[in-house]
Amino acid sequence: MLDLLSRALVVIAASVALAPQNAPVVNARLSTGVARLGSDVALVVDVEGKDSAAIGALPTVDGLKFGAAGSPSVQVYESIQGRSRVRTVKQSFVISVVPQRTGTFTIPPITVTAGGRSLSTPELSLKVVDDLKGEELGYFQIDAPKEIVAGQPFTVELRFGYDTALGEINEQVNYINLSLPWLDQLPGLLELDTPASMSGAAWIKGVRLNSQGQTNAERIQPRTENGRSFLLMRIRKRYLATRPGRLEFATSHLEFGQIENSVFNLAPSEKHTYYKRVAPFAIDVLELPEEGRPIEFTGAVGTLAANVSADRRDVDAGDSIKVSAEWTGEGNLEFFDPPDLARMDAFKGFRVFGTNDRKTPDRRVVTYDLAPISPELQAIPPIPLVVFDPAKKVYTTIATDPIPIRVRALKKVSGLAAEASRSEPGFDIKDIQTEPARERDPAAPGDGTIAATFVAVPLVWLCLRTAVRRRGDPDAPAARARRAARRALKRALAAAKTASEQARALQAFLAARTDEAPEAWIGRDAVAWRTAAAAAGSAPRLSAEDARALRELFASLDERAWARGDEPVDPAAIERTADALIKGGL
Amino acid sequence: MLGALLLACASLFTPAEGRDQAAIEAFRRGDFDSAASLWTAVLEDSSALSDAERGRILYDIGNAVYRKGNVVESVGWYTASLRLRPRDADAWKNLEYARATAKLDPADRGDLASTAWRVFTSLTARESRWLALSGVLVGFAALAAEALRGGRVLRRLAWLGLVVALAAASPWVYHRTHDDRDTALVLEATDHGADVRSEPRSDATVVGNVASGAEVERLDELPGWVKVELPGGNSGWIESRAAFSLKR
Repeated sequence: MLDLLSRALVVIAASVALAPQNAPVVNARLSTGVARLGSDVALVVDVEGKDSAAIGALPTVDGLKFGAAGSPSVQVYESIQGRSRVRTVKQSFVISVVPQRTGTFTIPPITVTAGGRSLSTPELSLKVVDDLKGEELGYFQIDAPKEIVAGQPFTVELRFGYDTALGEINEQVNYINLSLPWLDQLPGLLELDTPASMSGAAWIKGVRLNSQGQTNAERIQPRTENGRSFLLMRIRKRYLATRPGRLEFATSHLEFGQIENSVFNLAPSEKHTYYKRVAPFAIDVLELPEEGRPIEFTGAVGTLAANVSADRRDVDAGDSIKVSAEWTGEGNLEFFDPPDLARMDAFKGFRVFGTNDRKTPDRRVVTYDLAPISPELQAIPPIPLVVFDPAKKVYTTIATDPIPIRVRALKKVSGLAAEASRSEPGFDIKDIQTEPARERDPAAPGDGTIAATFVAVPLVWLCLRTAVRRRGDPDAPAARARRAARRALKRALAAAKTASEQARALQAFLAARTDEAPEAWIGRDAVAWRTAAAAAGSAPRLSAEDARALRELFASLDERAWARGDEPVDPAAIERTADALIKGGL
Repeated sequence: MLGALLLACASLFTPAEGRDQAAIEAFRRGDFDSAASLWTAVLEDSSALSDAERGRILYDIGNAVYRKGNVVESVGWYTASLRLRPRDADAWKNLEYARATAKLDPADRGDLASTAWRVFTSLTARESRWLALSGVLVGFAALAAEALRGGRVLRRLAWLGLVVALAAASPWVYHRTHDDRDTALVLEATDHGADVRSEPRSDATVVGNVASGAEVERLDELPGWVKVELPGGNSGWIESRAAFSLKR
């Protein structure tokens, strides 16, 4: 039954998972994060995953003038993900932005409609200054490969610093910001874990990225250029290009200088700020060549090495061996499908029970659970992985070494090997069941009983409903208020430990039912109250008998409170009185 | 031969449990004919067997028949067993295996509709009665709450209770309407299934055919022939050997 239910859930989940997955993705980036007043800035909105898209109304930002969004440029990419080919359409809208005054501007999200869905771009920040001064005082260089292939990881190294004449960090320069408008905004790019630095590296804290957050930069050797010596640091970022195309890195700026902090650091103001610019550049992401691509290729790109180990080498036929294949090196270790041994002819003499896949940025370890089924097997065959080597631009197969094993035949078992060669399905029928079912057939209600119950239930419901409604609508506000007061009394009595507390609970109940403050019932003679109400011409809300019972109950509570150590009365007596009052119309 | 004869004679005088044990021993020896005969005798002679025990014996007969090489017939035994014990995992496994071996469509295709149907029919007739009664009581509780307290929430709860009661009763209704039907499984080891003839004669006109593995309702029976109702509503005669009665 559980198996059935779990399968039903899997079927439902699978049907959900098989729903269209090509949801559009929208991104936006500026051609620069820092602009001089009067210069033009381009705002690029990228829409991926749909053939048609439309830009909504452009936002209004005081100090910025937006041009119209023209027709988009369209690019189509094809990439290989695992064993399948994926086609992606990218549309890019370019909107000109003209700054009209200096300041730091926030461009709010722009609405984009694609595939019937309304999406928004991220918020962008643009700093507009009068002059980008201090170019000669700064050093900023971005190292990145000019050309890579889809699926290849690569490193972007940002080296930056300033003239040592400005002193050490926090002397004349206490503020460094890298304005990188492309950061996190490039479609088709996946950021990987930062590559490890050398041990013992010195770190400079507090470097800002796009004026947000703070990061650490690794201090590196100073450098002399054009007669100036620069104090240098670097930040490295590792990326993976997920598909072919062109990655355009917009103009980047290094901002550095001195900030004057107020006493409480509430509104820091820039005292001196210098800028160093890096011109825009691009990386071409090439498609993996079709020529020479083996059918077994599963997306591995890089320069990889393979190792293999087994947890045991001397086994009985049918015993499990855990074989761990490990791939290391510079490549997309986390992003390829591992070889499927169950499909390989070389592993026909083994049963593959399953795999365990562990991924880290620097290694990929896949543990296969194999069982040799023939005593004639003498080795675990090499595990091949087809890799595209971007340096040599060819597909190569890296294979693990074979592992010698000894497989002992099972006694009295003729057929493991024979069973392995059987055609599908790969199992025999289940054996006979020899244990008699001793239990008798359980008693069950008869068909007549069930049918009668089906008929009786609506009839009972109708009768019950009619009877209850004769006494009034049970859902009327008054009825609900009565029940609420009764419940509150029950709770208060359960918590009451003295007669005084019980008296207060009763007073609160009566107050709720007479729309008065609880204090009104302190010391009130219920009989006199009833008589006075009748004399005033209003209908009495208590019967004479209930009024007397209430007076006696209060007298009993008072007596216990004042003369008998505040000993509580039986709460059931109070509840009975309350029920009688409610029944009497209170 | 003499041993089998003695075994058969002994089986006439041993109680059901002894015959069951003898059948198990015969099966273990590889004497599948004797095993199947002994288990069939247990079924025929012991009308007081519980449904679970009948289901077990039908399953064991299926195994004996399968081991004899009558894969197609074993499909019928497993199907009959599952009617009495619908959640028996071994019977399901063997049924699917036998159907695959006999090149019949799987009994459970594994898709959403098949899975839902298998869940729906996974209760025995007795269990479905208890479920129906429980559903009615749940519905009654919801209706009573609505009658006593009223209000929108309880009204919705009452509707929900009603739906629960009807849903819980649906397996019972299914068993009520299906269990009394005398159905047969068409088991014909040919590609085109079993020929349906207008009359119970082998030279009568073939009015259609019914695929192997299909369930049909038995309307009448003559020696060597069974009159069946086809899924489209027509009726005709097929040979008895091709119609495995599921009412055992």
